Amino acid sequence: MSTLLEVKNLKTSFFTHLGEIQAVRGASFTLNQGEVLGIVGESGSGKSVTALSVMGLIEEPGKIKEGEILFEGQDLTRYSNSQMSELRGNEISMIFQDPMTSLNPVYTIQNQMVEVLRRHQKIGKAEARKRAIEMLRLVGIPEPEKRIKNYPHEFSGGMRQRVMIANALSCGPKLLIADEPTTALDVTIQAQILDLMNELKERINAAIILITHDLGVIAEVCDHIVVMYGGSIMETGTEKDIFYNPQHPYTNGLHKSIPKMTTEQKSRLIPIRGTPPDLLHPPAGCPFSARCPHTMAVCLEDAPPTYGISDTQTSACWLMDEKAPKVDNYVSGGKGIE
Amino acid sequence: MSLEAKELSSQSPLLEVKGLRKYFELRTGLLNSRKSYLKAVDGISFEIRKGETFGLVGESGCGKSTTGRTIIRLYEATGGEVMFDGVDLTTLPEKELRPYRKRIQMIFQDPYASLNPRMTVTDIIGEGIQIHNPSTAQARQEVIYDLLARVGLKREHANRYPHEFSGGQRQRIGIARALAVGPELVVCDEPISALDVSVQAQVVNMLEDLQDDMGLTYLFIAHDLSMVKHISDRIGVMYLGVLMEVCGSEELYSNPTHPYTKALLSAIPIPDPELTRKNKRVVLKGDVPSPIDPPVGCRFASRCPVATSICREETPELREMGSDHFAACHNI
Repeated sequence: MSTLLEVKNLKTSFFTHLGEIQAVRGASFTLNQGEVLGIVGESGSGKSVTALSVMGLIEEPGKIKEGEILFEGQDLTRYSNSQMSELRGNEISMIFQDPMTSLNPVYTIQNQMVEVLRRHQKIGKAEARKRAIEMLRLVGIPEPEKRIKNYPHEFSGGMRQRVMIANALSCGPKLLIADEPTTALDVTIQAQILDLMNELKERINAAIILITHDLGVIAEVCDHIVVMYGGSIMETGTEKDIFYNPQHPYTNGLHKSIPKMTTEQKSRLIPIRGTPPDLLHPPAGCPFSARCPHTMAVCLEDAPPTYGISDTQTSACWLMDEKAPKVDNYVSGGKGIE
Repeated sequence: MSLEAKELSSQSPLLEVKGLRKYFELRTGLLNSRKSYLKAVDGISFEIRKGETFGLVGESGCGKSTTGRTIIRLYEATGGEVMFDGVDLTTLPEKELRPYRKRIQMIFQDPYASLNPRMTVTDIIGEGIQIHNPSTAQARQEVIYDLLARVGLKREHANRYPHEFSGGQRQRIGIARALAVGPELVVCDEPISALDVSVQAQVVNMLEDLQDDMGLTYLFIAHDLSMVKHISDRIGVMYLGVLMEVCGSEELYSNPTHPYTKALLSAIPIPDPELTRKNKRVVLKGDVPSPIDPPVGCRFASRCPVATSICREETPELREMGSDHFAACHNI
């Protein structure tokens, strides 16, 4: 499999009147063709800003300070606005969290879908309409010939998200970025959308980046996972690595703080103490150092390098250093973080 | 549930909701001439025993929050009874209700909207104390310090304003405010859904500790089933204004009987990929019908995989399925 997207040391900041908010502080990851990559993190971890940086949608006062975003070998950070417009919606497209605000309420679905198709592909109106209907059918909208004439408010939340997905896929993009696509939906509707994404992943040729705060959603669809915290990447690995052999204390802490549906006995949750860092004044060392149960002197001073653990897994934690003490750091067992 | 609470729970329930209904009037048509009703809560009954946590789950729009708000009379009930300690709260005049306001308190979902930005933490927590248990300013301040310590905040936080706190800390202030007047029942309306995953567990553990220390009874309203299972002793599942199933939380997860409960449980994404692949999911078709003029018969019939003709004609009542296990379905 060849590399589709390579993000190298991405740093994106927002220059507000309060000072520089370092939303992404050096993120690097790669995405292969046809792969589904999950980026998981809490609010403020920099996962959405990473996606917006790839899309070239960082607006004033935000700025990509450093780093490269290589899409098929081309550095997108050097692209002009018009070059990016050619790419967006065509080669790379995005679905947002709130399907109500991301569709234009005063145009019909047909209007909005045909516009995208005709903007990027050299096809006539009738042809575009036909393709739009095909896409709506693909995402499971019943009676697409009729429904295409409706306005967004005539669809329910789940149906709107399907329309968004149809629209995003209409030009056959190579990369689809889904930013919390199911967060605004109820669980039963979320299950429908996740099933749809799993089904589409087989049928379309696009690589997908799925951004979410929910480890459960990640477990449903992703092959590879990036765990972000405080603007930095903490751990990367395959689904197996992250769920069954997490190496970073943050990933581990996240696992322990979620109630397990499977356990019969009622056990206490083990929370991560403290609160996420303020990215206006990010800590000098590891962003997780203030909340980590294994903090050492070095953690407070220097940001840890990224250690390779296996062919598929990396962890940005000083504990991986050969000089660090060995700690029991697995999902089961390990000491509490209270 | 602590041992003591278990003994107490054999006694009469602290709160008994009987056939509670809450309709909102909508006016549509020319010059608002046509009246219709949004039936947010349409005849639900359950009881909460002293010292236990009763979880109320359901998807958005199912009426779970309206139920909570009607119980504490933020909304006036359209019909039915809310018996608290043997007294029907729905018909009490405001003056006679006041002592009960002290005994039932609420924690709200949004820690950003539920605290007055122009009041200090002391004022926010102290307001209720001043109204219900008037005392000297100094005595009140001591009580406030004690409450702050209980919810894991420091003395020096007392003179700050809400904007100086993070979401999790604000929720702690909201909890301290609810506890300030010494309530017996606390209605927790999605108290953790606005918080980050890593902070949610902190607040849930604190709620559990406070329950043990102060002998509280909780009505815990949430849409996150895994968290509800974790915190609740018994759970009620709501759908479109009615209760579908009520039983102990272990029982609900190990032996769900209602088709909606089954679908809801299987829809939860489990943070365990191998388990996810093994589980066969019941995916519900379609969307929740509108609560304005809801369907006749079982509310769930339009999406139910096992619905038969009777389901579209007759509304099923809650029936006993096992010990302390009730479900409203014709086809079980």
